[in-house]
Amino acid sequence: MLSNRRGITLVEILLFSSISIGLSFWLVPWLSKPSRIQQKMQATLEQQKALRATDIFVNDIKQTLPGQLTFDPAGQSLTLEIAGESPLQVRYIYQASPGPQDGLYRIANGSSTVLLSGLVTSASSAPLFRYDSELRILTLDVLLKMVSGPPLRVVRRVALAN
Amino acid sequence: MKRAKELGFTALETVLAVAILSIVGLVISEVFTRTNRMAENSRQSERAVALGDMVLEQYNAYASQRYDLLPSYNSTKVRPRDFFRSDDDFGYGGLSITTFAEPDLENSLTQVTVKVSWGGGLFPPSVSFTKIYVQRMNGDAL
Repeated sequence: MLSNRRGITLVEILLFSSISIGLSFWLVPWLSKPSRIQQKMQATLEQQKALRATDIFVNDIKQTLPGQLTFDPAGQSLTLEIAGESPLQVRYIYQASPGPQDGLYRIANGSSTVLLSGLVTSASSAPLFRYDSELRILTLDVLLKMVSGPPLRVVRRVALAN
Repeated sequence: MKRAKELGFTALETVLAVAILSIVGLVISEVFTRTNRMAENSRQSERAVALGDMVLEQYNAYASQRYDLLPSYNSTKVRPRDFFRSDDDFGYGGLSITTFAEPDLENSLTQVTVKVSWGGGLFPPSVSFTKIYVQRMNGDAL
């Protein structure tokens, strides 16, 4: 005759623990999937934004008058003259001061516009602007800080007109 | 006669519950997997378009200086560092570049096709661009 049994046996505890652990290992990757998907979509949006922000730089370079492009030796700024009714001088400069002031600035007609802010690249590291004199190609290479995830690298290459 | 109170679940109820939960779980996991794949494809497409733009700029430079040599720059599934002859992939690792320049000597123009692909398999996803360069009288390209 079976007596009234209270409590849980060791075997039941072991069984319950092993099933719980197995289920946890299986569930945990799925729990993090929504945030990983969200991060991927955020990275795509950030890249789109950065590329659109540098379109004005590409357009300026394409309209630069021949021989009117000058660099500073550190590659942190460049000056160019754009063709038009009257040539317009445009300067691109990287402002490395900490806080919300840092970024890549476009200065023209006495006003400055920040194209990209939150750059990881500093004045002491790789230059923002590089020029291939053989092919006459100008390269803009920046690293952008992201809210989450690794920095986003944005590279634009523009062939100078003859 | 009153039926005795029944506590717990019958075997049939348990099997049905597990089956329904499994189906729901499978559907949810399929949704997650597809969304993840779509997000990845979208990200890679954006990168491929940006890289394709850079490749075409390179061809702009080639065409303005070495128009006749455009077919010599044809490449098949090369890495960005190999195409641009640089130290790194400019942040476009995982993408491969295929280019083909087809001259039309009769009309003095050359059609350049650029394809940027990613992933593996027999038919990897890709984006393609085409640009036509017209030869000027002095041998350069427009």
